Amino acid sequence: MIPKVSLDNIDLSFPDASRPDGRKVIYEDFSLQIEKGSFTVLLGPSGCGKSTLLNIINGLLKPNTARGIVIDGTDLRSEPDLSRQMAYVFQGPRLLRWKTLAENAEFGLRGLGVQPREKWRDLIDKYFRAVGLGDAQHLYPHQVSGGMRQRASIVRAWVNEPQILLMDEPFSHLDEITAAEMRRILTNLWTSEEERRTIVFVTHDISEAAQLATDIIMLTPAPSKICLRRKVDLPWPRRMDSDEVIAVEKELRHAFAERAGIGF
Amino acid sequence: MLNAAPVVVGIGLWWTITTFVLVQPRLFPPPQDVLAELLRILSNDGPLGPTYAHAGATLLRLLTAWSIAFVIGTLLGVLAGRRRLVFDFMANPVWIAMSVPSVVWVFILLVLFGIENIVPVSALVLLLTAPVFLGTAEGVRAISKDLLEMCDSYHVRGWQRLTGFYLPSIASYMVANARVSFAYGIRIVLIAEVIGLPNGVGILVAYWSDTLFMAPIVAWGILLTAVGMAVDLLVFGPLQRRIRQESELSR
Ligand SMILES: Nc1ncnc2c1ncn2[C@@H]1O[C@H](COP(=O)(O)OP(=O)(O)O)[C@@H](O)[C@H]1O
Ligand SMILES: [Mg+2]
Repeated sequence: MIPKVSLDNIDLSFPDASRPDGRKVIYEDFSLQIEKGSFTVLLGPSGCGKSTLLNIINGLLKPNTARGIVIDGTDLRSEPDLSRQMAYVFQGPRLLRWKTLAENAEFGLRGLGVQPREKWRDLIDKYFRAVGLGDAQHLYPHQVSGGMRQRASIVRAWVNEPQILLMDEPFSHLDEITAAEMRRILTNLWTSEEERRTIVFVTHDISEAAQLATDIIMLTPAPSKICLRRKVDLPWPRRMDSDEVIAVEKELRHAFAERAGIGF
Repeated sequence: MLNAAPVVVGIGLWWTITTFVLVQPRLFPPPQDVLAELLRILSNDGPLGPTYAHAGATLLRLLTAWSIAFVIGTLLGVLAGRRRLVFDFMANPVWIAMSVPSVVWVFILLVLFGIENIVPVSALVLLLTAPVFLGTAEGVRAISKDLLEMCDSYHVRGWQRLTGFYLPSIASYMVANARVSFAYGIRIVLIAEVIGLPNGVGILVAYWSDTLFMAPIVAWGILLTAVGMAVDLLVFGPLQRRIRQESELSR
């Protein structure tokens, strides 16, 4: 395996006055490798530190100590610009209300400094069309539905053609039908590209994990440990209700009960 | 129409008192005297040359100082809103600066610069920057953490962050700041001017006060109030409404 992202021996705790020692430990000597071109799903209960982990990978958050936060063989801390090859999709769309959907995408391109600028227009057009928003890109966020806003936020990430996509429960606040459609759009986009991008996708939804992942990493409640790591070698497109996906889902539920002490 | 009622009653009272009780037209001018002075001012006639030149000079000082204060206050406010430390460092001096009476500032600056145009302008800048600063810092601190994190993750910095993110985020605060500081400025610009400059409404007011003529002073007061209200009603009011509508629409 070629690790695209490698976290080595991370320690992280937050101040927490309600605890006797005054700190809540999230990660202790935690290590994680993410394979290049994989669709890695980080699966864990709320509050276990999944968002925190994405923030560490993105350089938004510094762990207390770490032997390495390595992207493509180089430590992010010595080369902060490495995070310009990443793009973040959040739980909510987090669009700027005074910009159109297309302008929101351009906002990201400008920030990450994607070159050459002459390409921006085409990139924006291409990816808005890829998610079915070709005509809506000149509307403002409040003029479109929640699902369309979240698609626009995926475009804002994808237009940068990032090597790594960080996605933090991007569909969890959508209704089930919209979410299912969004998963299909996302996997179509991802599998349509010759060289697949590395996706780090966070969720607490077991069936979503089974449907999307090539690699599943299951986390325990904080202080977080990896309690299961497994590949899912199923072809695309996957159906949520296919026997194979449901079998994976079942296995994950068992693992949660046995290894993370969480029953369903 | 109901709004006009108190005004009519007020003018009636004013007329009654100055006609029957305090019959001293120099010190307590009745409404018709003030009206006459108002018309004289509007016909560009006054003791120290054309009144429009004086009004123009005052307005220019006000607009200059107000613009400078708005820019400085906004920039410092954005800095302070982002960093708790900067805000804590600046908030107390700003409150103190705001609490010192404007006249005192004028005399301090007078000692520093002598009788120069820069004195009323910088006194105004000092006084008007403070509310803009505080309003801006408050606006920036109200920005959602989620959006700040989004900007950080997309490396949005410097000029793009200021013009593409902070300023649009606090647009409604900016209009409110502009409104408050303009209203404040128009109230104190005369105080900043009463220092022996060659022109300005402040000099006219000082002249009439020295000669114990109240009617023109009241007339100028009414005129400035009218200008202040007109700007508020015609410029800032609609602007603020529009921005509020836009942000409500996209809630
Ligand atoms: N900035 C912070 N300060 C203090 N505690 C935090 C902070 N960020 C996260 N936490 C805590 O760390 C834990 C993990 O948070 P998070 O990574 O958001 O969890 P998840 O995304 O898995 O739901 C939570 O208990 C949360 O309360
Ligand atoms: Mg989270």
